[in-house]
Amino acid sequence: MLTRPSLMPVVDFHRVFLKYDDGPEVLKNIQFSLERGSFHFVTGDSGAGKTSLLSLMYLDQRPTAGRIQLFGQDLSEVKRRKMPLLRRKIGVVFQDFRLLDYLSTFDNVALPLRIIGMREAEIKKRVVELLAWVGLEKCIDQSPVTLSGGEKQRIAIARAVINQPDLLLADEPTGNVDDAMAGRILRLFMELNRQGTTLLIATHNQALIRQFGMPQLHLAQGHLELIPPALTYATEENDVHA
Amino acid sequence: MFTHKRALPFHDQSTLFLSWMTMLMVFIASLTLFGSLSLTNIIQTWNRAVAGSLTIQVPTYDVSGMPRSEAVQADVDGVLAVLQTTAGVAGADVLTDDDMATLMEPWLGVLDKVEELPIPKLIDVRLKKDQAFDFAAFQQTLSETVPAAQVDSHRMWLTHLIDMARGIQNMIVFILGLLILTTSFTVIWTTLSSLAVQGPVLKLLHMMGARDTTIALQYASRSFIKAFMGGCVGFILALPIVWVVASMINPLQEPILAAGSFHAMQWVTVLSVPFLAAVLSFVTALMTVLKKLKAVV
Repeated sequence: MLTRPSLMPVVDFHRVFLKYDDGPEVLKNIQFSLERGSFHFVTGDSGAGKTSLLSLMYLDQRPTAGRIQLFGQDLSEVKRRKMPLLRRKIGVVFQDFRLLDYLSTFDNVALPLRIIGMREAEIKKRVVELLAWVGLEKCIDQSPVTLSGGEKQRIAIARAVINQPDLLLADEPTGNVDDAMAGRILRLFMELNRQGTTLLIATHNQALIRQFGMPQLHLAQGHLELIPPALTYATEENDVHA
Repeated sequence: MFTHKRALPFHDQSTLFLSWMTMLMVFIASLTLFGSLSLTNIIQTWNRAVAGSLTIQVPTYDVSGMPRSEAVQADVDGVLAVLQTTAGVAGADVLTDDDMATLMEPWLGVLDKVEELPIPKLIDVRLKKDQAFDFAAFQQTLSETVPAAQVDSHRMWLTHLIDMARGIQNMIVFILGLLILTTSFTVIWTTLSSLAVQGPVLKLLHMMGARDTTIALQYASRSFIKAFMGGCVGFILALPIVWVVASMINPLQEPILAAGSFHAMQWVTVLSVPFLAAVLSFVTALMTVLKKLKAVV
């Protein structure tokens, strides 16, 4: 039976396992789907496997077992030459930023656009606009080395969203910014989400989760549990009244 | 276009090493190539000297000083007979007494009776330009048929010298081959080192959707520029040495390394060494990176 592309889940994990070399399984029997335009938080203690889960989605590694579908395509069947096209639909905010210190702020943010071969005039317009929005217009020619942790984080976010990706994966995107900037960044994410971007944000920030009340993919001991928004609030109230 | 803006750092330790190594390789390659091309010119000059004609002497007196008057004509006829059956010979003329007198005139003045002097009979042999002449085989046949006849020794000496020069040239070609191989290995090594250092950058570019060819082209372009810069320095450093060696040789020989002695194609060959080194680096880096990237997820 054919499925209409718009109805296909953006991410579909089917009995996915992951382990590193001979170590224990980091992810066990993970099974979930993300519909287009959905917004989920990934939660769990440190070492629970949040980054590993995201890395499977941004195609940094392959699962030890199980099937992953992205945008309706089974990753085990996607040919290597087709992988770049798939990756271009995904924006990633890394926990450690992964900025290129030998490039300016502008060039770091422009990188995804240059990879897809966009015209320099259009790149300039988009990058300048976005850097102004995240409050980094004065750092445009500076190397990331000279910037603070919060500023680097904003560059990493700008780089991830500059291409208006279909799927945005963010690993602790507000870990190094103040509450005001965190709110501003989250509003940017919400705006992208309204335009159809599927969002998955790994975070420890309970305030953020409470504020936006989105469903959680909670990881514990390698297992994943979906916590719906209502339960989030309930848990919160339980926590509050405990 | 992505490739116009570098995503990879232009400088790292490995690229510095590549520049130094290419400088050294091009320096040595330029010297050997100058040597090889000069040898080519020398061989051509010597070949011209020995090509086209040949002189055979038939002595008119034997070793004890007695005249060989009767045997001389038989020997001359014998030589002419051998020449008639030798491939590559266009014709032969026996120099007359009058011819000999004219030749000797600058040294001995006007001679009335040349035949009274112990001057050998000379046979001037003309060789065909479009057909090879086997000098060694001819000399062997002649020594068996007319033992008294002598082929001019100058040609013999030059032939040996040409053979030796060709041997040296072959050795130079072998050295150039080794240099190309060494340069290729250097580029492979520096590219692999750079790939190891730049692994996280590669991964990031991959995750953003950069194609293998795009990344490989960036590496290869960087290798080209670094190798070309190093190569140009190596070439420039080789020039004064070539000039000094040429100045030392030229008084002994005809000006083999003078500007005029190299024709246009030879100058193009020599000047293209840094460029060829850079192209070699480009191709090697491109292939190495593409192969390496296939192993990345």
